[in-house]
Amino acid sequence: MMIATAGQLPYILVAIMASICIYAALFKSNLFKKMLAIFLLTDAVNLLFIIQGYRLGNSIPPIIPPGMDPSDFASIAVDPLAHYFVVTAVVIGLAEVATLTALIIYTYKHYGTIETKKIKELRG
Amino acid sequence: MIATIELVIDLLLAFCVVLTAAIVFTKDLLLAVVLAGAEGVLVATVFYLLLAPDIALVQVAAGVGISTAFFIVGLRKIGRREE
Amino acid sequence: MSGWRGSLLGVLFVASMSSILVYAFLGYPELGFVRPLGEFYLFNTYNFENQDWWSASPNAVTGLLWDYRGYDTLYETMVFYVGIVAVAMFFEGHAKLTKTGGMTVIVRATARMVFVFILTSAFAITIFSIKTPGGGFQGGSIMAIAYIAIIVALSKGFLPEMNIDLEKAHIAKIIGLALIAGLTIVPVVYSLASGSVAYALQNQPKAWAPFGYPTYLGLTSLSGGLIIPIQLGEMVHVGMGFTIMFLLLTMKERED
Repeated sequence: MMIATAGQLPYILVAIMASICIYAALFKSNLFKKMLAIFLLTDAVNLLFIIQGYRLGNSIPPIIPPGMDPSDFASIAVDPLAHYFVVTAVVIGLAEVATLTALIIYTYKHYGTIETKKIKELRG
Repeated sequence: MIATIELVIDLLLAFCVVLTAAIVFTKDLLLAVVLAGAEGVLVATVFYLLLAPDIALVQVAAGVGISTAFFIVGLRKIGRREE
Repeated sequence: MSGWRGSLLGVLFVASMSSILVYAFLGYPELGFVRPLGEFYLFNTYNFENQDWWSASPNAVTGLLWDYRGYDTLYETMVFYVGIVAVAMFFEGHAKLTKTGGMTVIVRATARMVFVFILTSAFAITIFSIKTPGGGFQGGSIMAIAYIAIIVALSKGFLPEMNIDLEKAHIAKIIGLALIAGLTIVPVVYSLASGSVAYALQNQPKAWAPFGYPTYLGLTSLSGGLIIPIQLGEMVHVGMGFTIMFLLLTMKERED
């Protein structure tokens, strides 16, 4: 049986945020709302990455100060691998959002609405 | 023993959860976009507090500035009301 | 699904989904643990004693981006490029520059001044990225903000005055991509010409692979080898990519 400690509270909050986003992306009828939910879901996942790369105590950013010994630096700095993944993920997530915006505008021009329920009626 | 910085991060994340719920349940899409921008600022603050200045820079620029511009351009074409 | 029944189902879904996710996330260690791969990168990124493995960049994230994990970043660049192509597919045929009002004279004059400041800061963030936070993706996003601000303030019809339009943006983006591709291929060409071992995207010389971009500018100033020029290319690519997407998204509206 796992019991959450105070140090794991950020994980729980990020999990709630992610599941609200998944709910909206699956069950909301409005396409724009779905896109907004997917955008916020990328934020939640990025937060998860950064939180689990963090290090408690007197930690410093992953930039080595002049004259510091590399082994000292490796024992106090936070994880640069998580930062690396998130730097590219933010930009790629925004490109994805721009593509989805283009698709939604195209859908609106074509059907005159962006509600999935109405689009289903129109086709059916 | 919980550190002060961790407490601040927890508070900011809790506020993020509240904002996400507000974004999902509001009917006004323009308000949702503005709230999403506010949440981007909060997330960037959390990144900075978690010692990730690189990510805070890219989050402020991309997640707050450019994404809001894209969303508002989209809303001008599809209308701001959700049914 | 409507009324109270819909919201009850929503609350139930969120509760069950978040309990599943919490159960998964609690497998992660508490805050305070860095995995061994991360410690390897931290230890080697600016380690004078072991120059076979170093990236010559005090900023570990920058070293990871274009030295240790350069191939990953190359393919991320490709994903971004495909995103631009996808937006262009929807709107390129309808692209039309129309001269409309824009904002007042004061806003336009201020926007031009602020444009210069933002663009300068974008270049500074990219160029000094080996010692301070920053890099190509950050600088590119800030550059795109400068262009988007000027598009909103001046309206698209005034863009030719500022020497921006869709074709020029495409050309600048392609120059950035060509810079990235060229710097990737130079070590391979060297290897073919000299017969020694060299890897694509190799930054610093190794004991068994003598090719390397210069580590120092002059005697002491750190140059980071390949990192700064390739990040300038990435900055132009990302900044122009977002500008092109924004221009294409705004264009069709004026047409009808």
